[in-house]
Amino acid sequence: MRKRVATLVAVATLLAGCGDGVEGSPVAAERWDPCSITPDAIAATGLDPSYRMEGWGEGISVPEWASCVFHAPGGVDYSYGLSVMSSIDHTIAEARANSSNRDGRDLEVGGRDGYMYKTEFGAAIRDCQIALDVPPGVVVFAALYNTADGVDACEVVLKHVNDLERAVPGAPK
Amino acid sequence: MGNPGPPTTYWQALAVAADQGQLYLNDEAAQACYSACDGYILKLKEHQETARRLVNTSGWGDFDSGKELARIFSEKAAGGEDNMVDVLQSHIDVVEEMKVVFNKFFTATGDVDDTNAADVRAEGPK
Repeated sequence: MRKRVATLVAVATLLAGCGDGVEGSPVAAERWDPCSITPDAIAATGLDPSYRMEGWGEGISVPEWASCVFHAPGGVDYSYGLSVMSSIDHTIAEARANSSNRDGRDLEVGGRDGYMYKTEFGAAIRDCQIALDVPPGVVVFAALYNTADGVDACEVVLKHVNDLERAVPGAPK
Repeated sequence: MGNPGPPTTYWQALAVAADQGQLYLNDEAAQACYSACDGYILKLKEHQETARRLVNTSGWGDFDSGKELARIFSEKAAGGEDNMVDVLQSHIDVVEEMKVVFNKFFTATGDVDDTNAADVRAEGPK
């Protein structure tokens, strides 16, 4: 018995050694990095695979949220950005409880609990967001539409969430 | 007053001057200015998105004091009067007007040359 424990420890050590520098599947308490979405997946959902803004930018620290922004094709004339944020400090319940979130509605994406809503701050960008329950935290997709072409930002964000949801870890079996 | 007026009007006036041939820039310089404008617009749009996203993150949390703080910050960053997102938009609008002016010197030059050549051919030397 003792020998078997020793063997298990040895195997575990060996596995840990192999794990160095190799991306494993995230464990529950690990925050998912939205920038792990591959350029191929970004191209497949109709966004520009050559553009991504990783993190929050120089001099801005937002410890509770990991962040990645993608753009629609068109270079500088892109019509909208897709913001993907991930947190283990917040939950989807907070999005539902926030009274400044407008037009909220529940939905299910790939078996996950989701909540779609809009916020209204300023005229230049109109947004629509979808928070996905990713225990123990939440992942928030937001379409940030900067072009007044009448397109419904909620349809845009829903399409991308449907396409990209499989990149988010821990989907219900 | 002596003020040149709102910046967009200023660049619109330069566009008119360019159309009337009172303002000239060689096409190489104009193209360089045009692409610098594009680079600047992209930066401004990124800052706009960041301001908006910072407001979005401030809306999360349970405590009333946190919400109050979020409200104050969000008004500065994106929602209130003279909010960051709309102020950045007014900058973007000006740079778009600048692009229109610079663009005239490298797309219009070829067209004008063609027109002049056609006129000369049609009318002949006087």
